[in-house]
Amino acid sequence: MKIVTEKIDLQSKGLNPTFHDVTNEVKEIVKNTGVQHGNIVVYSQHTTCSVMTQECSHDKTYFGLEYLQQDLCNVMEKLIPTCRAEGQYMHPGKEHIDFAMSLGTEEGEWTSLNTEAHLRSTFFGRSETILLVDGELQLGEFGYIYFIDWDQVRARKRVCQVQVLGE
Amino acid sequence: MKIIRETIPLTSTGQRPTFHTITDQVKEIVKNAGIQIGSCLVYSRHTTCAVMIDEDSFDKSYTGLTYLQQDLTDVFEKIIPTCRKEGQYMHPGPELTIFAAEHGEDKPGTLNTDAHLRSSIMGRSETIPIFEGNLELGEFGHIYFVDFDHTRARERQVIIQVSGQ
Repeated sequence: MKIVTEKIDLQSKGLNPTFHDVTNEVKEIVKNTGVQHGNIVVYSQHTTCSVMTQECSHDKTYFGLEYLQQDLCNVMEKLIPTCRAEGQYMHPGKEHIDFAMSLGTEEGEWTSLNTEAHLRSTFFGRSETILLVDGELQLGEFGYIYFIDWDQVRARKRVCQVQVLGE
Repeated sequence: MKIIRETIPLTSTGQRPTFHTITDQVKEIVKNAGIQIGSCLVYSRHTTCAVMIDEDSFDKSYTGLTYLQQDLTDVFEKIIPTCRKEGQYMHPGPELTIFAAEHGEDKPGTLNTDAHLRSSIMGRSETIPIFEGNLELGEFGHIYFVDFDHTRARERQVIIQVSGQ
């Protein structure tokens, strides 16, 4: 039994949710481990991000989102609207803002206005587990792995973790 | 390869969705397992519960939920409203009501349709990688076991399986 953990560095754009296609990087990591049978976990420790598998939708919006990604954003906009100002949701409250500002890393209180990103992220979950058979990720012909950064308030550096487990 | 399984018993308040913070217990289980690299599965078999990871929101509402938990509850109230009486959703139907009675559940106890639906949207598990002996939760990540069933206080179990070497 072999277990390998690798990390993929990512940079979001801000302004809109960012969908990073990490399929090729994940496939490369799996190939380099030499593991033939097992499973892989693609994981985010960031509490405003998610991992999902989905097909490539080909067409893109002016902002560069694939149509399915834009459709997903539109659905989320309806269910969990983008946080535009304090008071729209209960979070972030005063204690949270005091804590965030005490870190000395935040540019302003506005960086905590990502409530919708936290909520959307918990809907989607932080990981996908994908079956590995004969050295091939079982994604089907059209399956892609996306790391979603729901935080729209600023461009952020993120880490996507990939764990390969098998033999 | 080592696999260790532990169960954490929990009791809900029954008045509203209950969010149990289990971060410390899970970290303790991982530490005691002595596993350096591997993964930790946090799993619920209860079909009205969920497992999620989120940051601590600090501020709390009068109900005792943190603001982010209250916001999540408010979103669910909008898209999957709390089941108040039979007929509001299709479930529970007549056959289920008889089946439930045969298994010790009274009629009010079956009015947890919203909890079943919310639970399946959120999912019943999270898998967290372990790297250099630590759970990869980041600086602010917490593990929550969510009991969406508001019909009564319930005893629940969350299962933690640590595998690795």
